[in-house]
Amino acid sequence: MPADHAGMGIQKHRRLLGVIGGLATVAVLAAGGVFAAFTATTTNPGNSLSAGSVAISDNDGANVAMYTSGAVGDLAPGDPAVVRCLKVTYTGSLDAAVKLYVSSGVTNGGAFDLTIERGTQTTGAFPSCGDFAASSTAYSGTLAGLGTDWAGGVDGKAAAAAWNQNDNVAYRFTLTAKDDSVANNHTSVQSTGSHTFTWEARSN
Amino acid sequence: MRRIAFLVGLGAAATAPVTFARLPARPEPHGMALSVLVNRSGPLDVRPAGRLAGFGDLRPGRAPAAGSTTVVNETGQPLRLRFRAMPPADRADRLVRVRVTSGAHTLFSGTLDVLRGWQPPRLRLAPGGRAPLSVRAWLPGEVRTGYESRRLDVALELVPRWEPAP
Repeated sequence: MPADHAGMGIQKHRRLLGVIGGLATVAVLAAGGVFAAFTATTTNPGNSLSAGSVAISDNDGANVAMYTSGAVGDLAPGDPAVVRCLKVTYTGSLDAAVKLYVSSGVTNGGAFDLTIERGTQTTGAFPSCGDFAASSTAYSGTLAGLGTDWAGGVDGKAAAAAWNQNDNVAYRFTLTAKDDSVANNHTSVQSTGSHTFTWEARSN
Repeated sequence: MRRIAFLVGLGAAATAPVTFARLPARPEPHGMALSVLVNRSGPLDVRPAGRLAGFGDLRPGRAPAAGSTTVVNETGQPLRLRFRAMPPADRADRLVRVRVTSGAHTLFSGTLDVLRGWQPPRLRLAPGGRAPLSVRAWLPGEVRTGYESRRLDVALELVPRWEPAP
């Protein structure tokens, strides 16, 4: 091989090696550029809001009355008391206050005594009282004297304690006909008319 | 010149694996946090009520979240029990399998997204009657992704459908 040809071959070889070396350097620098930067992030995921609930229900089935004159019959003083139990359950997510009151417009309510006790009950279906155990008295007076709205209502729990989700209270209603010594005061049937007991819950 | 190029190339070849090897491994994601709640209502008592089952780190193919309670018809009327998982739905609903049983009877078996709808009232309760209620929820082994770090609070809503008294 002529000397100038050999020199050109070496030069080409060197140039090729230079290109390879340069590419390797660029690759190393590029890799450094990708992996050399430390990073850190922080996130605050899953934000959401919901309004709480206030919900209350009882065990009267499909709004079955605790008592009706048709089922009980006409009461006289000294007759066995009408005793019925109803359980109220709070299902709202917010703590609440509960009051019990009767609908307005009860006629002849003064002719009947009513006692409402709070307690617990684990046996017996509505409206029977099963193993009802009284813990406090919510009201004792005439049917006419029971409040007819939130302001005049009686506390659902003793000392107006708050209701939490899944709390329940059983109520025992005891009704009797009041004695009345006034002559000719009962010459006809005295009906209360249909009335409704309401348990109202309000969030605290 | 040739030696320099060779050394540079050798250095690049030697450092590249080390560079890749030193990259931190991805941490393993958390599993699904799943809880099942059953609350009482006026007509239907639940004993015990509240959180029935829970699992903090549910993963595919692992043990299910499971729990049992007793449902009591507090009313004076016979009823059939309707139930559903309360909305809102979650995009992971289709991954979660749920089975609701009462004793030997299966009341529901399917995915959580189906349970979000009302289920046929198969369980009958006489006045004052009671029945066991069990819930199992799990992620099948074939689930690959979509459950990681998700939190599902499933509230089972129980509602009576009144039956005519005998």
